[in-house]
Amino acid sequence: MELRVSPTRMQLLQLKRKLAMARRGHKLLKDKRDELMRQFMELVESVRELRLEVEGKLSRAMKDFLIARMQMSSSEIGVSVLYPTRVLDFEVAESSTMGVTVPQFNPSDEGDQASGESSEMYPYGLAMTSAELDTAIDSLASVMPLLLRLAEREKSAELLAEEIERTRRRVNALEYVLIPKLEETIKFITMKLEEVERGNLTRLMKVKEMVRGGGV
Amino acid sequence: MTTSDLQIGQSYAYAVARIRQAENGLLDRNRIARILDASEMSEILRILGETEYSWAVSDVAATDYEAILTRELERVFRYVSQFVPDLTVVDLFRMKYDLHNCKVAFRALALGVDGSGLWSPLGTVSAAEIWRAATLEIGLDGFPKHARDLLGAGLDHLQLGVSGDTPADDSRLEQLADRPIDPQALDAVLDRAYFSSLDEAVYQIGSSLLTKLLRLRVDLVNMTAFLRCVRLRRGLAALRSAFIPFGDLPLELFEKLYNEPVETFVREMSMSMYDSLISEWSAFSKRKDAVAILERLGRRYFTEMCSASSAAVFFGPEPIASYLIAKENEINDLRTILVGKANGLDTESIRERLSGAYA
Repeated sequence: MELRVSPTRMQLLQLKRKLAMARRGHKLLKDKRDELMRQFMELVESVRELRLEVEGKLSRAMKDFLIARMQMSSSEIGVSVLYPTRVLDFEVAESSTMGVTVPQFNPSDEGDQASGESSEMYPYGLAMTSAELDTAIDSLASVMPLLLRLAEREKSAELLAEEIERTRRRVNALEYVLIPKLEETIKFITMKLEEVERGNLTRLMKVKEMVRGGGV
Repeated sequence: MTTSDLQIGQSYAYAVARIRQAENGLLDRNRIARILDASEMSEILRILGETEYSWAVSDVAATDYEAILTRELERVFRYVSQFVPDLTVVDLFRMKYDLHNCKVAFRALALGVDGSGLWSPLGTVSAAEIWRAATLEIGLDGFPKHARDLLGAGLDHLQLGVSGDTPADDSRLEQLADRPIDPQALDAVLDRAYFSSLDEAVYQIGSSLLTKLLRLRVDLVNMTAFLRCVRLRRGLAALRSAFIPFGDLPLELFEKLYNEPVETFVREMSMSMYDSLISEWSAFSKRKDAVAILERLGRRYFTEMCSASSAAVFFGPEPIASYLIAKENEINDLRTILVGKANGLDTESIRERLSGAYA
């Protein structure tokens, strides 16, 4: 269905300009969508690998905690980790990928140390606790930076997916709605103008014939 | 045997007879093997129901195994307290739970929480009283000596004052909530106060064998603390802070060994009274879980030493202490099995983590 416009030459010119712009926009958006898709697929693959790694390490940490739990009562473990000595602190920055703002989690110095070898992350004394708890805390601390990176990438993938969906809808709207409508309207105006042209020509020929025949 | 030992021994004649009978109730290897082979928690509870644990497992959900173990220990402490001439012998084993409750209280206080779910009912003083003392609601005058020392050490470390007649001062508690505490240092202070109390209690009981066993226990704690300090790269200051000074192995020895390879530690310890323990452990000394293995071997070594030493004592506090140590080990092993089984750990992994020190 064409647009409701007056079939004038001015409109035709404007619509042709719009159509050219729509085709250009469609191409650009299509390129953007394809690039976003490419980046999204790469990101999804890295998220999948990272998630497998994190799940493996978390599973290891849980097993280590289970082994520590076998040596200490639940309340002993509870009191040992009740008062944390480290806070995992991180800054959230933003970066742009194809116009999509994605988060970047940067652990601060203190946060970095939480994954390091410092003893300060063990919030308990040594006399009444088991060495198995040290192993469990080590395992969990080693997962934290990976968890942050996973959160960053999963959020980026989510935002990219939303942007891909938005771009896809725009491409489809241009490809299947706006451009066909503009084309149809242009065709309609062109036909209308041609019809008017033909009418004028017929009228002129009639007038010329009448003038020649001396009928007037 | 000294005259003092003889006098103590005579007063324990009845108690030792009761303890010898109670020792028959300890889980033997066959029973532990049956529990290990059980495929379901309900089957384990059924096996435990045939033993002294029958009261502990009644009306308790199969998943609430910690409650079962706590109830059994409560029963044992109550039972032994009925006939032991000097309750200090039982208190030696209950002080650990006072220490635990003090740790809960001071951490909860610093965090501004109430520590619910972490209190132990097994201490000599109720958890509520410890909480009231930690929050300066009551003074320390009414507490037994060891609890006073523990609470005093903690309050002193947190700069909350110690004196029993100190009136409640909310401003000091508010200040505590505003500043971070060092839980490692707090534990080091409390642990030292605990071992000091044990030392005093053992001295009060007057048993040379118990004194020897306490030194042995402290040495084992210091050995594992030393290896953990080295592994965690905590430094000499942390080693000094974690060191418990009531054992036979001096701090200087550990300081000297701090920067040495583990082989030197093995060599030095092989020349001490712990040569059999260390020679057994040396095969595992390079493993990642070497310290945990030393803990397990140390527990077994301690129990065996205790059983061997007290077997020759017919009248005295030693058989009672020996029984309570065996019971604690049995409960630790049961915890290992129950937690492992409930979480689907394979039998072999569970078996290798048992101290194997039960009767």
